[in-house]
Amino acid sequence: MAATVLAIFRWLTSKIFRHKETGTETGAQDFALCDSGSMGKKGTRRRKKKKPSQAQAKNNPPAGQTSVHDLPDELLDHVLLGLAPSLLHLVRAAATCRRWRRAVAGGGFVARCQALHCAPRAAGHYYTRPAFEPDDHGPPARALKLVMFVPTAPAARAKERSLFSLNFIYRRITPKVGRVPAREYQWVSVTRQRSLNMEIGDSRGSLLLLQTAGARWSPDFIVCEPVSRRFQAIVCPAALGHPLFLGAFLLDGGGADAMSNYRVLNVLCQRSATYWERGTPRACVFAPGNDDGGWRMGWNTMDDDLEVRSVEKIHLAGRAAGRIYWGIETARTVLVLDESTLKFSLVTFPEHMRWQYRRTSFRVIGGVDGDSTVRVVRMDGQELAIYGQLPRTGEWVLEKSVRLREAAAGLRDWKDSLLMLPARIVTVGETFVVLSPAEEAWLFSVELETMELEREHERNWHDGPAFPCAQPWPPVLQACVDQGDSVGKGRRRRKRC
Amino acid sequence: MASAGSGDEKAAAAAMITLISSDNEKFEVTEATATLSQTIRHMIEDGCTDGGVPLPNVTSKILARVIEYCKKHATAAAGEEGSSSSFSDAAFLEVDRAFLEELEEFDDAFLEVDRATLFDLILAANYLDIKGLLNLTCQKVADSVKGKTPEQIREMYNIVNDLTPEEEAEIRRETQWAFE
Repeated sequence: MAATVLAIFRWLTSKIFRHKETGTETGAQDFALCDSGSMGKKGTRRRKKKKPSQAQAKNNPPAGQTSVHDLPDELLDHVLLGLAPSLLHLVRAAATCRRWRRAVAGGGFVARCQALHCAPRAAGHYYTRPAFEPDDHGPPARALKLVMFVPTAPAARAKERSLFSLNFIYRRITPKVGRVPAREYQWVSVTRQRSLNMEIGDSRGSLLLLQTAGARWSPDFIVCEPVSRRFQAIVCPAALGHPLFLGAFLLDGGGADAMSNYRVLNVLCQRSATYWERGTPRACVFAPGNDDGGWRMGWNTMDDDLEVRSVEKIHLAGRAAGRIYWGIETARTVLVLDESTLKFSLVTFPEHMRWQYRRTSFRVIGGVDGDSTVRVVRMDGQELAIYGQLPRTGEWVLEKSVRLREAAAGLRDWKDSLLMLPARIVTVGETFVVLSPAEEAWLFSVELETMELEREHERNWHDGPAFPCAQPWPPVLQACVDQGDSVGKGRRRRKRC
Repeated sequence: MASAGSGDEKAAAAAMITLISSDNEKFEVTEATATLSQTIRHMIEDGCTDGGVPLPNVTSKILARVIEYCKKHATAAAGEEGSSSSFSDAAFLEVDRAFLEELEEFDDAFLEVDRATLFDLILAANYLDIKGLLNLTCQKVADSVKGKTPEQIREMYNIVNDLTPEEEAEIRRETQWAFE
């Protein structure tokens, strides 16, 4: 078993190194490109000899007409900024010639892109849901998850679907999807190496964090940028042993290129040596790069360790206002991690909110105005309730609630047998909660603003969490920008990030 | 600007500016029209417009088009200012929308020119510092590039490919997804 895992990661890392190598050097041997065949050695020689005269002749179009070559650099920038925020258009324009490439890859252009505040919105969401067994002889359904990308703009579906395709990691299958309308863009989370099973754990900006599916102990990770097809595998440090896995999250590292500036926060729980059911939460952070890259463990510096009881009953409840929350089912307390200080604390809610914090009935979401407050979503028997804090006193009060059985009765395909048992929370967003009756998967969502129920929204088609993903922004181009006077520019920019 | 809003006749009577193109053709325009150009506005503020404003970088053909644009946008601006006092909010919004639609139609028609003229307009707009016209024309060029492959862009704008095949291969490898 250990040998296979090792082999897989050797394969993955070799893949990464190949990516890296080809990103910075000109070794073209292992990539057969569509037109590189026709441009042989001969072409190079000819071009090099003729370049100056050819350039002159062609860059001066006939009859002394004004052309794009007459635009000074700042006007060319102005024109190219008109392509923002579409990365695709910019990348293609930057492959036209040296001058255009310099313009787009220059530090000034990137800064102006950022200043424009036209960063693209999330292009869509990755949804994951447990897969039904592909067929009777296929792999067991146990650990399989379907991953699909659903673009925000319905008009752009075909293009965005291929841009955000995860086919560089996942194999594509045609699964049976049960009640969900069959779609073409689904993958089972079996990577191309069959035995390596990764599921999406988190997303941030243009990045996805994949982790070993169904991990109980510290998993291995892949951080990938779907649009640029880059990824990096991160092996769990061997020194960790087998602490329980509480969750992994992408943190923002700042800087222009997301793939070289992310951080992975891995939250674990180390079991106590004396009491098996107790444990101490730990956080460790992975950063890419050569100088200070790698895993950094948080626990050597912690004197005031927390001890958590019933470690088997911890589940992730939400991430809001710079903190991550876990409900501890039997202890009736909530574990909180501050993302900036990486300090854990145990929070006890007031008497009227001391429940059993189950995965299916308790979540924490951000406040209404996106400030530093949080709200609690609670499934209480037949009732969905939202709790919030009063602004001045900080007292926890019931903000809103809705009785689901009565409210759901008008929905499409309603059956009287549904919602006799408490519903389960499927996923939460800042403005909505997706629920399903315990009896069967019959997803509906509650709009938190109005507490109205509805069933038609896309988010109700997927029995699992949604991970927003955007195209990378601002554009960072590194190939062929270190020629002539742009050498300094390109290098300096990369170092500063 | 405010004085221009009260009516074309008054402004016309008050101040006409003569613009002189590179080929010595003279154009009489109102101050409201001319001051859409920041360059000319500064000249007017400095009081050095007597005897006409020479514009050695702009040909008569292009200057005529620029003035056409400025006239339209100056009256639109004047119309908006005038209407804000005499209409109720709803009516104002209605008029406002009509104005904007008309202006958009005008802009679309205005941009129906050949490429050389378009680049001339960009250079003129930059020289005369007319923000609206510069944004409009630059965006027109950008829109024409959108959705095109590098080869198509080169062909469209007579750009010679000065990247070696190796460099091209490297570029494609870095962002392969964009070329599929």
